[in-house]
Amino acid sequence: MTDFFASLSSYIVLAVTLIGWFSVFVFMMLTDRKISKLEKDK
Amino acid sequence: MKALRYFLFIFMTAVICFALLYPIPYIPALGNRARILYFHVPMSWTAVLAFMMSMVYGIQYLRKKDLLYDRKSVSAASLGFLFTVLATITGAMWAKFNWGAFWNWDPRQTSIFVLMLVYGAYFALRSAIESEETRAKLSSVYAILSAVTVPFFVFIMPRLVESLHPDPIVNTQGKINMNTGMLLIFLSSLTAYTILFFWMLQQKVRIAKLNLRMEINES
Repeated sequence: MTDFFASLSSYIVLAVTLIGWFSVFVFMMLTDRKISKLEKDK
Repeated sequence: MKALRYFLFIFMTAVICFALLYPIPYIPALGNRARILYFHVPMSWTAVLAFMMSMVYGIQYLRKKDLLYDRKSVSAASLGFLFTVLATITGAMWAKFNWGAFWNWDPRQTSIFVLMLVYGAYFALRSAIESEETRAKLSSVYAILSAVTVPFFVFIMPRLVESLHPDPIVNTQGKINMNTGMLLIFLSSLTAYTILFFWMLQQKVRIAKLNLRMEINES
């Protein structure tokens, strides 16, 4: 049972970290797109 | 360039998965908490790299008097500050589980705190000066002087003073005590964070260029 919770908690940490990284990546990609649009408009 | 971004996405995702799931050997007093080194150390490394870049751009501004170098310098310094804060937060979380409190004024924590004050003063200096040229000149000089203190606070002081902080990656005997698997994940994480930093810096510089162009058009 302890092992189950230990591995469950490590998967929760993994999920939270991945969600954090995916959010950063999406934000960076959207910012990139916006900058490219502004550069074209200028 | 776009391919590099998608490479980073896959690479960083793989690094995170391996960092959190790949079995590590038993390390006395640390256990699984040792996994923080895959994130905390690359964050510190990125901060040092950013502060050094800020110094290089500061030198270039003083040589060429091109305002773009000043903008590049402040962009690098702000990213350096961001990664310093992230390293401090992850370190404090680790300290809570290992030492029992988020903040203990351990020499490592004190030196990073002083480093944040040094760069906090850099941003305060920039916001206090209205003249663009004076601001660029003074902050470039300050960026050079403060970058000189970075290796002292990050690399030298923790090796001189007794601390509860685990050994640096390259320990005081000049050796790396890490098995091959851990070392590979650690080096991959360093690479991923470095690529991420350069991407962030490139975005900030592109925004700075747009701002400069707008200011020139307005004047």
